[in-house]
Amino acid sequence: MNDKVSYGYQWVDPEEKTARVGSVFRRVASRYDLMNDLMSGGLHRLWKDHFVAKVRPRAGEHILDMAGGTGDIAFRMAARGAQVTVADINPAMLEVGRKRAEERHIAGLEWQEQNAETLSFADARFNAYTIAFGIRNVTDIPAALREAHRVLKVGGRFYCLEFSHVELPGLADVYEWYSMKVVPRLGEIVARDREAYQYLVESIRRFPPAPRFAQMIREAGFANVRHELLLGGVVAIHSGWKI
Amino acid sequence: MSQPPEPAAPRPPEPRASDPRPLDPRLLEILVCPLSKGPLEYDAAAQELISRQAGLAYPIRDGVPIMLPDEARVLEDQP
Repeated sequence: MNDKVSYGYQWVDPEEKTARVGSVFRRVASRYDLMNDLMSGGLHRLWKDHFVAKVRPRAGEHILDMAGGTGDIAFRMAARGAQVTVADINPAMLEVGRKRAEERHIAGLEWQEQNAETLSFADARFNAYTIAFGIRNVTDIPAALREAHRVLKVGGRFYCLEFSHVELPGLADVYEWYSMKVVPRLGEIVARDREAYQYLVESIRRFPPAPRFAQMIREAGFANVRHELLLGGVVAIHSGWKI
Repeated sequence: MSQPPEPAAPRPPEPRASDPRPLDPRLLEILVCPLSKGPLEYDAAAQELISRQAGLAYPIRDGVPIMLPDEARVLEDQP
């Protein structure tokens, strides 16, 4: 198992994970929004609203939204006046976001294909770095966190929205049933791709619990690291500062 | 009294018809090579960002810089 990484419940080589995650998001890109609504009962919109409210983007700030291809977070931040660079490793997800930006007449966003582990930005360029439902799909998460720290200005902030772990006994059982039984079935029916959604729920299970992920953020150099659990831990907002 | 005309600021090259999304010049100030973290040169005609240090040319497709080494063209004229 040396050097293997988790692709859902399977252990694979890092290159294979990157390729297979790429394939998953190519396949789900066109129905990503619809599936998010179905899977979360529309809650993902509220989580994203709350997330952006915590980031507090301001006019004149330059923010990197990593893994932000479909534009969900970037549109919200641009509406508050921030200059947003949207980066994603997956061209299909970026294409969805660019189309939506055109349809909604949102201009001024920069779109780039970037690997979170090896960003192509100079040091200390951004006021904030955001990543929403993206970090768990990154093959080398510590590398991505170090890169986030590198490209942030001193005083810059890191914000991550990601699925986490439900600890409440009653809710945990319901969530277990829903995520392992219902979501793959929804994926099969709506997106005609059970495997992709099986990966999504398994990858959520494999992602570290919030306190452990917070420790990874600290190890990347961030200070004042905090997290907030939403809906009993279904999702968590992690934050840290570069000082 | 009329002032002497200001010298015209140098204009960026006109975008070609086939190039509806010219690269924002501000981008060049913040972009580096993802491998070497060294500087990039913008080749407007080829729509590429060139890293001499890494010997790679990163394509710009429809205004989107593809900053992934796997997608980059290897420069042939390297020493």
